[in-house]
Amino acid sequence: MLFNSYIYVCLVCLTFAFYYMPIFKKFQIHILIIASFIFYAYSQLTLLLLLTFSAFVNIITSYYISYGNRAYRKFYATLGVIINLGVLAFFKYSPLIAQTLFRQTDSIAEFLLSIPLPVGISFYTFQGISLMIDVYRSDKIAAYRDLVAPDLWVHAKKTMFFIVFFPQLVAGPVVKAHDFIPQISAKCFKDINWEAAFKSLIIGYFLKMVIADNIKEQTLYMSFPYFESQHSAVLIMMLFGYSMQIFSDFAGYSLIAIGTAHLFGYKLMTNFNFPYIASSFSEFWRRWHISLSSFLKEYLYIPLGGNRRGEARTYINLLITMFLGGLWHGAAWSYAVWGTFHGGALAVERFLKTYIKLPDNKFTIFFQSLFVFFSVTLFWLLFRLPEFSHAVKYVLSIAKNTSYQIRDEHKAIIGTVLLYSVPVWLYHWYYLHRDRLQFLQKYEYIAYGVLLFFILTNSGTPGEFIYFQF
Amino acid sequence: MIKKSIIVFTAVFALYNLLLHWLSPETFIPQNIKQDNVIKVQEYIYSDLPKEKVILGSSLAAKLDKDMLAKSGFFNLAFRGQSVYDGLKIISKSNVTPKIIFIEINVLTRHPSITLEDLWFEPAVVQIKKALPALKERNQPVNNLLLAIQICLKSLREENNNVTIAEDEKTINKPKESQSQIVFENSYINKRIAEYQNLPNDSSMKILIASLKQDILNLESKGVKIVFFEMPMHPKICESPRLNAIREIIRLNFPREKYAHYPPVDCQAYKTRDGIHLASESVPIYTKFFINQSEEYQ
Repeated sequence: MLFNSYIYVCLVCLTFAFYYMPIFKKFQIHILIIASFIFYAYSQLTLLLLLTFSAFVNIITSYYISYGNRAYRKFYATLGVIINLGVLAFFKYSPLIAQTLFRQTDSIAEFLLSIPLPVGISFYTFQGISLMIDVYRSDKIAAYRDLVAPDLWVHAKKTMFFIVFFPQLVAGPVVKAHDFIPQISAKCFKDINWEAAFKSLIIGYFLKMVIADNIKEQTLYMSFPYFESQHSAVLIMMLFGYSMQIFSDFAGYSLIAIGTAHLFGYKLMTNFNFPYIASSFSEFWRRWHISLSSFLKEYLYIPLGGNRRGEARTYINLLITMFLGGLWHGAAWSYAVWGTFHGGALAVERFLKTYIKLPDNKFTIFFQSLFVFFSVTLFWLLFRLPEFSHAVKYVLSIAKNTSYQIRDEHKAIIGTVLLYSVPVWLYHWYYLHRDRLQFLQKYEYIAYGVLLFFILTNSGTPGEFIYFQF
Repeated sequence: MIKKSIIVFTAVFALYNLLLHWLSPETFIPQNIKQDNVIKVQEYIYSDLPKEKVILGSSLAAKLDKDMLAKSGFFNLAFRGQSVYDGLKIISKSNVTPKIIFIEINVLTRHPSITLEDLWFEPAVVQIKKALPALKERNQPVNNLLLAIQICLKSLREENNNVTIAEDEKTINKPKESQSQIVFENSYINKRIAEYQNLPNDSSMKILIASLKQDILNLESKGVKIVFFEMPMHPKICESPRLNAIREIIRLNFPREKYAHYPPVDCQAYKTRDGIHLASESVPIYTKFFINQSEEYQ
């Protein structure tokens, strides 16, 4: 079910209506769970069983970690994490295992290739892992002790809700148990943060429907073999456009999820914080897909040792974290390569910072930001062309197609990409100069009114969110 | 803040609708292929353009000269990247029935892929889209901006040169392709020629032709005349096994004794850009032939 579909809007409106009816106040969580099941079952009815199974595994194992035999706490936590990872590996990485280890004609390869990919599996299994680890740590972190209610039924309800809550179910933000579960309580209509919800929804829908859905019709020609006949300038512009598209698509989705959650009284973490102004790779990862990078930092990088075991070990930890983070994005080695590029960039950056001190002025920051942006944009090629050889051919085409003809339709691609990138750049520019532009805040309603106008009159043809495939 | 935003939105939306009613732009520039197809569907359902003579087909027929067809009262419902069957679906769902339908036979092997929302055809929605032109795809603000830019650039060029640039001069004076691009495009054409050596899938064609027969029967029962035509392609593709097989299927299922057919197309007389789509210099030539020939069936 797409966020920009009539059926989704109907689901939210109906759920909202029942949710705040006084007679249903005690059943608010039940209503959201049912709405979430409907949301998920709409596109993948049979795989709803898997989602429910995953939630039950997390309910039982987390309950046993808290209230079972204390000698087995680590065992239950480990089991819970392994089951979550096992489900993820089986359903998501079977095709990769089949292609890497077996011949396509082998019966085991055929079986592995036939396994369906459940939407959102990367997100809800990670949330399950977050629950296991947070509950396991509750003996050291007092704030985590209330994550598991003593009553199994209450705990089951809260955990099920945490795992299946529909705004973030299929494409994040990745929600951590210690951030979300404490928020679960009865919500009142008068406490809705309408302004926050409105702003998130308007910007989210604008980025998704107006920017991402329009640019995607131009970046269509990045597919193999169409890109081989395009002029270098067109190839570069499409790559730039894809960078805008993936940001708008994903940030848009996250904002819609955040805005929808606000309507039901829940706060999801900010997932994108103007990432294209980053002047370093480490800053980029503090601004891009923040929920995932903070998850990887808290549950993988730090437990591996983080930066506490010497420089060499820090670089290895960065590479491992980003390699696995890349692989999380998709069952193809190109994603792992993408992650490794970023891990390598983080490691090299860290190394260089120790020995080279660049002057801290506007020009240096500007050029650093440009370098980070261009590098990140180039790395995105592996998302658009997961077949590694195609990505290499694309780069080679940029180098050699300089004498190709630029036809009118190519000029249209360049023009349209530039036009739809303007709002993204304005968005980032406004954020950079927000202190000087504070006087404009009293006129922000004009901007939101105009954005709403463009949502209604200038949306592209609907397409799935890019991150649905992860 | 929310109320003020909604007021601003309402004002801008109302102003834009009024502007569109006042200007009523006849031409439009689609931003991409999908939008072009959606605009065609909407124009068919919501506009008052003449729809007595309708062309159905794929991107091949979609290349026919828009202005020449419009002057002769044709409505081109051929969809780029899609097929005749999509056009037939639209006609069957809408309340608008043409008098004569021209069916392109080149890409009859492609299954329908359009997703039609029943809501689009509801009378209330039709009236709303007519009253609020801002809700039509062709009137997207960016489309009108591109149109305005194109008009400005054209008049600036004409002012600078002090002449009106004729369409054929634009074609003659366009930058030449580089050698490497020619080599690439030739290899692309050769791949297409190789593809067309394969015969169409038998079982798939049976299903498609059965569906085509049924649609044609339904249309004929409403008094619609059907005419089959073929778009020119690369001479080697014209003589390919696949196209010959399609011609034979049409001959068997829609014989010339019962159905109108255009005369066999002379593929040597036209140039194509990529083996299957007409090159820009051949578009007006074939469109003129198409329009002239259509007089025989009306």
